[in-house]
Amino acid sequence: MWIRFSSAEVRTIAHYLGVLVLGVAALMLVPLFTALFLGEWGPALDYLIGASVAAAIGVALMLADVGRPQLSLRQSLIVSALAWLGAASVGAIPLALSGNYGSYLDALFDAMSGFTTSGLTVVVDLDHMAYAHNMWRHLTHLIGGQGIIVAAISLAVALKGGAFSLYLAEGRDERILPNVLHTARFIWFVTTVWVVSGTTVLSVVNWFSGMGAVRGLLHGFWLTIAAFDTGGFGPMSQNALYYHSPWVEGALLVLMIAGTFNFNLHANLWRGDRMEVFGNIEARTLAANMAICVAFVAVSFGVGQMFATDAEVWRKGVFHVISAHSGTGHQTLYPGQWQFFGGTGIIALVLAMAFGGMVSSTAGGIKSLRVGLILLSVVHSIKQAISPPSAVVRLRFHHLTDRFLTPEIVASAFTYFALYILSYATGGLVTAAYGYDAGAAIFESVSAAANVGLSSGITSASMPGGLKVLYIFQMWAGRLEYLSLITLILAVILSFTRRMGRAQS
Amino acid sequence: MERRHHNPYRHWASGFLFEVALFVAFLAILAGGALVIMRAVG
Repeated sequence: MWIRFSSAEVRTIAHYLGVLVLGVAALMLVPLFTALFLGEWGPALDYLIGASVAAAIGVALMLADVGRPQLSLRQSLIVSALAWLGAASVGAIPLALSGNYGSYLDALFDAMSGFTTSGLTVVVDLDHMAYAHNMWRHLTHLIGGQGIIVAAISLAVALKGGAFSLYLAEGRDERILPNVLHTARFIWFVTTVWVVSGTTVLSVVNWFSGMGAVRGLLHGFWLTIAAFDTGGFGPMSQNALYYHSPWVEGALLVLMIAGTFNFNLHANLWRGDRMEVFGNIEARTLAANMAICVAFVAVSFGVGQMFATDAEVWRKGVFHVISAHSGTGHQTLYPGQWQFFGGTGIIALVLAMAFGGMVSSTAGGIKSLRVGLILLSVVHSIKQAISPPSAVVRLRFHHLTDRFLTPEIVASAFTYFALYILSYATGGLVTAAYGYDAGAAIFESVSAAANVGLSSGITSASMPGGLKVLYIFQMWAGRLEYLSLITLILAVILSFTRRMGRAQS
Repeated sequence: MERRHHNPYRHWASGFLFEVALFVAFLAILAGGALVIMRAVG
């Protein structure tokens, strides 16, 4: 039976949403100080206005309920769903003021793309964007990739009343450490180690390539968080291609794989349990899928002969498969070079994007654990079919611990699989209905819904407004893995029907 | 359960280096395999 929300519950949800919006306002101080440090006075004003408006909205929402009430899991799902929309809505304000976006909708598109670590962009004249705005765009990847809730838990601790249920609602299903606060801080520790290492390597490469000290450091930092948080934004319009450096691409490849790794797996490896990665069903599935996709791209390259040198095999082929599979979206192609991948290569990339990375990581898509469990259930069905009728077939798998494959686990995996496929197909159909090529339409739809960010060329400032709204919704829904969003939609519908019922009586 | 809650900070440096080596090795295998396949087909 569905339970409708009371006004007290709505106030509770508003309170926690206000805390998160206030957190976003505080984060805008980073680009504000960046602007002040670098003498970008116009952008500094943009962030002063943006942070003030966000703070005002956040405080107003918090005042809806001042008692710091406890959150139920159902309420947490709605807070989680609205947190991404709220963060993107206020995060878009300084971007809209920047002059690099045609409208607030365009700025909202990029803010949602940033927070959901998608990487699709409709920015105009990116190559001349202020440092402060690029800092904010990439910062949205960092916060969104770790999880808005995780960021809030680890920093504010103002969510004490519902920290664990919020953590679950954000799609992180397992605690790495017994305490959810410690888990959130461990996630930040892993991220810090990788970001510091990646930034150091990429900054040095940039300096050797002739970039100035500050510019090289900032580009190194932005590329690192865009890769590790599987976002895919870049400070230049040519994305990773701009650097023309195998060293940059090599570092990005390592960072993208690290970013798509389950934080639980990071924890196990950092505890010294090195064999976990070789036995884990999720790691095995991800490695096998990546290898299969690379193989198909290699076949396509071999047949097409457009990318046929040794360097192109990994700088174009392997790079884009890892970029797609990890849900990052970094590109090293000139516009129009997608055709060099051929039909087989493009299908392999679409499958890589659709499958996505690991659960409890910064990646999107169906997730390798679910793909692995579905494949295992197929094996189970075949074994059951060829066994005697009286035989009971039970399959085990290893994911952090040994488990049996149960109907509930399989049903859960298939449910998420079906929701993603539905989203991919719907987005593709609607895009094609706008007159775009069917292949490009499905590519773009999967890229948005799986939070990847590779673009077949459809996403641009000049695309129809309806498509922008559709992709914003797909990016939002894909990041939430649908459950929070379905709960939110049902809650709104039920509240509406209750009011209708009252009005009629 | 006991093992899983061991301190993950204790061996973080060696764990991190192991991850880097693992990812580089995996990428090398992918690139090598892709090269072999491309040459075999082309």
